[in-house]
Amino acid sequence: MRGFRTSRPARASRASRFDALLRPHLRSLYRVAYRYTGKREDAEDLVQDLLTKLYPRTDELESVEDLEPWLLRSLYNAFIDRVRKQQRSPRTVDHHDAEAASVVDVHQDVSRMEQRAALDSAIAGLTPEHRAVVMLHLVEGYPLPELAAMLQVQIGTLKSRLHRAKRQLRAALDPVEPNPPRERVREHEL
Amino acid sequence: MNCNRLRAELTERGLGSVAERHRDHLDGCELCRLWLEDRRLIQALATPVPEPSPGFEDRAIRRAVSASPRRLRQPAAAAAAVLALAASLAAWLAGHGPDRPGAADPVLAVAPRVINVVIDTKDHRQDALLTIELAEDLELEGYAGQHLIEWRADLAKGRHLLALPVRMKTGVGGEIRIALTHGGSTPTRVRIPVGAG
Repeated sequence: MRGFRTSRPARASRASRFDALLRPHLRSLYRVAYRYTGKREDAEDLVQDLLTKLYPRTDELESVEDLEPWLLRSLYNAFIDRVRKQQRSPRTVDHHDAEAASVVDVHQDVSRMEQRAALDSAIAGLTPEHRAVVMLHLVEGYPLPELAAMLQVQIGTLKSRLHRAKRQLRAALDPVEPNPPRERVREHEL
Repeated sequence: MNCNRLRAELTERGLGSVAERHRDHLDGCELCRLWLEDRRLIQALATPVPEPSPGFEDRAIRRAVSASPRRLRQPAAAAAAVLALAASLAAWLAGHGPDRPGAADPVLAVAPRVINVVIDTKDHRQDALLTIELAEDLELEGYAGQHLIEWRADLAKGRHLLALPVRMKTGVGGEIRIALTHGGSTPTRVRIPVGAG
């Protein structure tokens, strides 16, 4: 009998186990990464960086009971690290992908495009922590208690970040006027 | 017009469809003004997420696996004057002796063996391209049916061990050809015979 004949089933390779563990989550990781970065190639790079860091920890990943929130927290940390590094070497931030922008902009007039640019600029001006809570809660719909557990941040801190971020972003949009133009017209007519 | 009706109507008809009756309510209701600004903000933020580039999932996993070579603990035997790719063939199954599966035994013929490839670089090699070509009878575990696999990796200075779990489909075997390229340099190549003999 040759030495490697055994009744114990051979364990799959680390690469296979890693693939089986991570592949089901790649789309949602990419989606959240896109919300963070606003560009497809940056989102893919962010997910790639995360996977590269996680591969040596395949055994640990197998012991994680609920992997998706764990992965999203890791992605969040990777995003924060990435932005911190970028801030040490400043570069122009172009928030939105050409594909996404074309979908949004194709039928919009100049003023709305300007508003879009102002909003992109406001998003780029948010800290990564503020951007994350805006995108995950407001856009992706994660409830704040779930986010607090996922990101391991106090819910009060998240609320505070959300409030501040919304205030910054609202400034980029036209406010809902409390005094409509018709009132001014009436005054003029008097 | 009350808060609930205003929000229901604007949600149904679109946030831009603010009519006179809505204005009348918004004038006196700060909560609804904030609600409307929030809705507009969310609408503006929720741009479509484009599909990732084709093959993203496969590529991401492959690169993660290839970019994490196990560093050898022992020091390099000799300093490499140039980028050196040294390959050694050691066929064994984890935890067992250095046996080779034979074509006569179908159970053994499909068992994977680990081919250890030592990559010795004299300095940091960013975005090195590792190309692996496998003969028809060979495949890497996790990459069934793929005979040309390319990985990109940042290789730190030193020796790296790349463990390739190779499987023979019928036991005939064949050759693995490995090439390492960096920038525009001439590829460093190695051929590794894998067979039942």
